Amino acid sequence: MSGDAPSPSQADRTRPVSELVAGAVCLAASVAFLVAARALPEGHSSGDVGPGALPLQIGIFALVCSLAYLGLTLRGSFAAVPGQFAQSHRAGLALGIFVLALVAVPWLGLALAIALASALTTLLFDGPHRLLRAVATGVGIWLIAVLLFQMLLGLPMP
Amino acid sequence: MDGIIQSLGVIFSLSGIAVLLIGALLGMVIGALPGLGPSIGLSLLIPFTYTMSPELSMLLMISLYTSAEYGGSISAILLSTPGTAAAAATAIDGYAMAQKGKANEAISISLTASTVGGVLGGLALLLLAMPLASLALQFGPAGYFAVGLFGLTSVAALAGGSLVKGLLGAGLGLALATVGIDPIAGTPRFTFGQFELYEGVPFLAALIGLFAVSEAISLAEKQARKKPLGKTRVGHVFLSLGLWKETWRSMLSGSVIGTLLGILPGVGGNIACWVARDYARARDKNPEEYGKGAANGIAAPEASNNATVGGALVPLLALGVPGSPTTAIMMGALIMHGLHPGPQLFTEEPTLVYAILFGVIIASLVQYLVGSLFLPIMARTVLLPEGVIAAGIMAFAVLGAFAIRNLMFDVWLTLGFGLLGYVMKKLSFPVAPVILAMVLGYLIESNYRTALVSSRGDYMIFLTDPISVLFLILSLISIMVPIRRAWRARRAASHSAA
Repeated sequence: MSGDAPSPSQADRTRPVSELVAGAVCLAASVAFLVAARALPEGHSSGDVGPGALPLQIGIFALVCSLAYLGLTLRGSFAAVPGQFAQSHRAGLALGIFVLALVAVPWLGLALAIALASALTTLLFDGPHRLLRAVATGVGIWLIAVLLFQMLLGLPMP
Repeated sequence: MDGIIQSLGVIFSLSGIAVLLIGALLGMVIGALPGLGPSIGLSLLIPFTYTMSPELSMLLMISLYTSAEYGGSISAILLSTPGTAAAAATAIDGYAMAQKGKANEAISISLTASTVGGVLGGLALLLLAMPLASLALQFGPAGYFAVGLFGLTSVAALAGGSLVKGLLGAGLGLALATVGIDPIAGTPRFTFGQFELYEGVPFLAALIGLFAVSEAISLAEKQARKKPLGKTRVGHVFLSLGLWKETWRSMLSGSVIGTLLGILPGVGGNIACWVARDYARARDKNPEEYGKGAANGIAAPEASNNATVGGALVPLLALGVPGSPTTAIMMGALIMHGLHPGPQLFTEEPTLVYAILFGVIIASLVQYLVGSLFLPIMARTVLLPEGVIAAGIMAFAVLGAFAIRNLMFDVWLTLGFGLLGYVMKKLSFPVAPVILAMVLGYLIESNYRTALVSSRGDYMIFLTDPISVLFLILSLISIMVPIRRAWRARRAASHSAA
């Protein structure tokens, strides 16, 4: 059922922790969705299965798929990828910079906050003239936000 | 007839030509930048289309979509790094040709083949959409439910990678589609008291997050170094008569393959390009030249990936069922304009429908013009630093998300979806089924419940309606085929191990 997943003979037989965690999260989310769907009311008109019917069926479907996913992971259908999340700290930093910028929006305003975040994100990358590039990116983004979004599209920037 | 004249009036108006040119330029830049593609481009573009008429917004999107398919070949030829997945096959012979100092020839073949593919795909759309739409008008709610389900299962099965992950993605998308006021009884569902969720999870927030933000995060992680262009010079891109004679058959076969595969839900340019290349190679007198810079090794895949644009729009216009993430985004844009894509659109909005039908052909011609004139600039954009691209995508994503409803809630939601999309990519979960399920959720649920109301709760309606039975069987087949393939592969592997 794993489609194009590597065959067990090719795959690293060690069970990938990330897949197991993902499977467990899918299972927990399916159960939670199923429980929430059961709380929805029944249909009123004749033949109407009600607002909870499809969510209930989706929950059961997701539960079956989650169990199949966990089963396939335990059988070794998915290859363990060494260092899959090893470089994720830079990705996390990029996201973190934007999260902090959004938190600072009430004080800085959206245009300035994302311009600063863009400049800081550019600094995360190696290369020549990093500072110049960061400043140019920040100024460019600020101009786009103000001229294009605020003035041309009429977006009321916070 | 009025619809045709009015649509041509829109296309050839000053604003129509302007959006076609802007779409072509943006599409080529976005297509040429490795990692980005038409889906990301369209998701970042949607906020700009709010204030436009539906016709102009569709023309802009079609132009970007078409040109991004071609743009992917620029970096494939110059850097051996396909800008889009659909240009992966082009990289083999395109880069080999560029290495021989024939980058100009390679790009001229790619641009011409893309234009031919786009025009032929557009003609196919023009011929097929209307008869199919007339047929689809006969479908009842049970039939429509099954058509929606088929669109979803086939994309989940063919989106690439594991079937179970594709199905889980579809389940997640359907679950997200149920958030908000339910379409029949008006009961709020899964809103957790947040008024922002009463209209449902904003499709655009999910779209920008899953496609654009996740890609920006991935770019930050990879920090790949780009190879310099070196002595590669690019100038004119007009195809010589000799190359025309050599490649026209591959362009035709690629166009037919691309159109047919584009119509199938879940099969896009990324599969069509390989099928077209293999077909051209099998019919070529010199198959040994493939991989060493064969002109037909560029012409066939490039014609096919652009022909998928017209093909992919056939089910969207005729049935209201998108077969790819890109057409799902276009459907989302139409919904945001208060329109419901499907066969009824032909009678309700003829100007819009004809603008789309003719737009694909005209956009392909505009792509040729823009591609010919701006190639030297395009060739430089492939070297744009990744830090600037990542920061730019994040900034545009935040601004675009805020533009949806002027709510910071949507911005936070977009970042959340971005994180989800990033984790999904790391674990090889396809994001296309999530987006498709979100778009199809309304169609599936409303028709499912309407069918049951009309049958007074009898589920047999889904097995007595012939259209419903046909598409339910097709849904089952779309799921069973990858299961059988995986089972056979496993059996073959265990035999070879023994």
